[in-house]
Amino acid sequence: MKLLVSVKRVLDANVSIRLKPDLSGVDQSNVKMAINPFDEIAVEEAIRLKESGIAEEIIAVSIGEKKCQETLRTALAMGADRAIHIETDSQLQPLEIAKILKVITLQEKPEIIIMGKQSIDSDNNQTGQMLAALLGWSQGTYASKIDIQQKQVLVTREVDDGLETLSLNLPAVITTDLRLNEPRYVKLPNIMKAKKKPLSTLTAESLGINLTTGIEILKIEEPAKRSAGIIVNDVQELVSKLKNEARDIL
Amino acid sequence: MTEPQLPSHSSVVVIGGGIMGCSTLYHLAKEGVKDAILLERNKLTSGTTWHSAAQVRALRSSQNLTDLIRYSVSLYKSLEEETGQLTGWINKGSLSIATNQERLTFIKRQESLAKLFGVKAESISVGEARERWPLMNTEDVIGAVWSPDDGRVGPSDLCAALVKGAKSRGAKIFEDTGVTAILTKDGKIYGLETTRGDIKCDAIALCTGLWSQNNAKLAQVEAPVWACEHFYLLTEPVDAIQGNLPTLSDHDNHLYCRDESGGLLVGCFEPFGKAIDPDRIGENFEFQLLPEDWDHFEPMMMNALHRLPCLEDAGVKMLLNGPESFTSDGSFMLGESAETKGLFLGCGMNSVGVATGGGAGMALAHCIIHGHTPMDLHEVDPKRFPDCFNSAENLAKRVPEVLGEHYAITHPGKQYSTARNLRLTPLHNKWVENKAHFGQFYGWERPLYFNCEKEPTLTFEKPEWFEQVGREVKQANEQAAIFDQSTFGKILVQGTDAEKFLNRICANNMSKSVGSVIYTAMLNELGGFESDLTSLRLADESYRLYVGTTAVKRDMSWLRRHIQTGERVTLIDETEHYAVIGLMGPESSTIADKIGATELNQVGYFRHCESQIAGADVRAVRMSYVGEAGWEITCRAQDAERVYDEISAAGALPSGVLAQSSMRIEKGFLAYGHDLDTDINPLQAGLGFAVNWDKQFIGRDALLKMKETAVSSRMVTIILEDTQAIPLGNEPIYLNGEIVGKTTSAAFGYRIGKPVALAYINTSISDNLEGIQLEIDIARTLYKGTVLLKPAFDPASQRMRVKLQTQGKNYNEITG
Repeated sequence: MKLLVSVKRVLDANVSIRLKPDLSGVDQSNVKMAINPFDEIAVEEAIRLKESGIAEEIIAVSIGEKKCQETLRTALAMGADRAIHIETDSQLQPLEIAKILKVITLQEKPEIIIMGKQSIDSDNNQTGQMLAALLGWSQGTYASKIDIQQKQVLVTREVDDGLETLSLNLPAVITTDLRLNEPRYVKLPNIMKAKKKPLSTLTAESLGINLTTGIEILKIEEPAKRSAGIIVNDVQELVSKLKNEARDIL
Repeated sequence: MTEPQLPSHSSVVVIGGGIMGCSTLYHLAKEGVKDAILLERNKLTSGTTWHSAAQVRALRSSQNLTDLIRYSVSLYKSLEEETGQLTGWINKGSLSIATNQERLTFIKRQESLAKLFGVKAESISVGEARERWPLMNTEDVIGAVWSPDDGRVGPSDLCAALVKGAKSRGAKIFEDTGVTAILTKDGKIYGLETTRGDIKCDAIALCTGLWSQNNAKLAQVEAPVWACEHFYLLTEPVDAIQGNLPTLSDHDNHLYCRDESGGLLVGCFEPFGKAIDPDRIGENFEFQLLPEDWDHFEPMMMNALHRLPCLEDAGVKMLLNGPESFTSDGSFMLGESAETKGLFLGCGMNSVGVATGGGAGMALAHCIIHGHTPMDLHEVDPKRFPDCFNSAENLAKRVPEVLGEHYAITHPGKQYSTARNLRLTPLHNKWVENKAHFGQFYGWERPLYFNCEKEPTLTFEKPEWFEQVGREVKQANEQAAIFDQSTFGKILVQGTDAEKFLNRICANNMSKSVGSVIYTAMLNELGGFESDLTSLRLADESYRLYVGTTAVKRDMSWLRRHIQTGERVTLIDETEHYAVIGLMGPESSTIADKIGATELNQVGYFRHCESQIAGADVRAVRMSYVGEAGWEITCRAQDAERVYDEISAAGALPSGVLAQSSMRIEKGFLAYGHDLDTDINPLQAGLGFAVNWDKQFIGRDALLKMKETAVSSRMVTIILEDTQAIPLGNEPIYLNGEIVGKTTSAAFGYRIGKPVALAYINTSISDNLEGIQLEIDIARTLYKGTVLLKPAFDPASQRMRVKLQTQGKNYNEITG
């Protein structure tokens, strides 16, 4: 079985974010980046499937600027077999990403695509779903457990009511949630081996698809600062404030 | 942590909340500065301190730097009790290993040093090293030194404890408060502007680490600090690690290793680092790291895998890349700036911030309160940097190499290869023609020796240049040699009050007549050497001071700051206007005749005269740093080459700095920074003859008190028996198994045929030191030597003072 894992290069979760002075976006210059944590979980799951003999080949894909290759190297160090970098400097939206991944999917013919449920920078939670729709494949999102059977995959999903297990026909798109697994720490020999694994680059423009997005970002602003709390003297005052002032804020 | 309102005035404002700022604030408060405050642009420790590996290894290159770290250790221990805040101090010692002979010699030299400084260190067998660090692969290890008192600390916890201790004594801290302007008037601090209001203050301690160069400029101060990436690897827990381990210093492989949270921390100072563009670490760089760079780290990774085979199976949590600040020479900055009074610098820690921080903060606070550091710290004086290293270009070129040198063996003759040829003396081309091997001093290229065919391999054994330097000494001793002394600082002191001013600042009598040459100390209030210099009285109101190559900025600052209001004195730095050419040797008077500079043969010893050489005006001083007959000839820089050509055509040949150094050591002439510093006074240095007791000068009272009691240690010459011994300076001296002194400068004395060392030894060992047999510990081998109270070569200085013959007439020498 062949697996395709898509990984995104995002701001490191520990970085404190600032906006660009012109408020056109988050300042990503000179900031530490990392593999999207949910994608890292996806890679880990793929490796485990390979280690248990179910998958034979894992291909990691990333779309973005040249530095995405670092993210792909992380995936290769974890155990992916080869990587494909779709190079572009444009800021792409989920639909465009899904279109690109569709082209790669048709090229590489994996049976399962695994990716994070969302990226921690844009939090869209759309790409996996859109990709499944474009391909006409089954989808199992927010996976907290994946169980591959003969021609199907059982995906246990974390939903508001609890856990829901779906049976999906292959091929399928699965998006990962936090509790699916705990990604391994890579070992030094694997980091070295990763350098020798194949990494090919294509430009997004060369794929022959329309990458113009229909979405325009109007503005980005910081959340309103929390104002200081007020200490009230007694219950009466508390009730009065709740009745008369808190309502406006809510 | 944030107090509501900024005060309108504070005696001392500390800017920067890393280890240096926190420690300085703590010590200011402890020493009674009740209104000290600290301003931190973001949050405490958010620059470099928070990600420091926080190793604390005591042994440094000098007693005082070592003492700063030992002070840190005892402070970090006691802070827990004092404040109730743990500092995370773990004392598991450190292990230095050697995988080649040169490193082994080096760590043994360090072991000797440790004994000199009172730091515990012992050579141990490879087997014992393996026992102390079982995970280490020892197949290529040939020796090790064990230092039990070293350890490490938690940097954030430490700062929390320091801050707690400071606040309990009334100090206040303001986070999220950036400084936007520093206010000065007449070259002195009087306040600053912040994002939360203005503050008047009398002094500022600038402890802003990576950002110090830009911040210093707010006060018109140059602080040449530049950031480099620093890497260390963190792994998940390793089964074999139980509890804490000592630090393993595998410096041949550029690594330091220890445990961290049950796993391994492996850091490196790779041979050539990565400088960081300041744009990448702007003011919003708070608790941030830089990207992992596995490609850059790979050679270090291979070294780490070799040394710690268990790393192969350890999961890597991260390759941490955090910026650290470096200076052009690998030592930090501590003290008052040259440019602005009241602006004190405590930054550029070269990755020893947490280790040194306790002691450095103490020293900086002391300097701010008392006007001087508690002990000599000239090695970290901010006034030691030449201006050429203020340039971003030069700094950025140099610091990657400085990082790489962090663990390098400090061989004799070691030179940086980056940022060279910044300052060329007027005779540089001549030296190149003579195949000079250059060294960089204060930015200047100086010829170390000549006829160098290839880059020498450095060693603690007999150096490759040994014979060549011998030939250059012989040239000066038997014929005539040319020395390039153009790098000397030249300061013109002029004005109606010049004589009065200099008499107050200098220990010797500056009232001697025009034409006199005066060698004098400039002392501080405690009677210690701030500088030693030679002064030429050019006219009643005009003196030219010749100061050491590296002393210009420091001495100019000292002179300037001691001019009293209304005193009519001007100072001009003329260093680059003039070349200084030394013509020394028994043939020099013949040469002076040949070239028609007859005045040279007429001027008396320690006097100066004007003359002409090759049509150029020159001023010659009858004196010699190398102890041979001759002159130091000053001419305009643009005339240097033709003066040289004339002298050279008459038969003089060039000799370099190493020859000069060997010769001056044979003559017992002392050098600032080696034999003299602010802790040494003229009495113990044997320079009491250059003190004029009949007048009031800075340091006189302290010296008089010292004169009453015998000095506890004094300068002597030691001649070693074994001609193969290679003393280098900074070695302990033993008598009957006890350390009784240390060497300060040393060289092979070609004129006496034996190695010579200058040393300070305890006077208590005997009433008569002359002829006593002592032993010098060189890399843990003892070499016998004999003490002399007079110089090793020509003690009566007959050669320097010889009558000069010219055209059949004799002229008596006149001692100035």
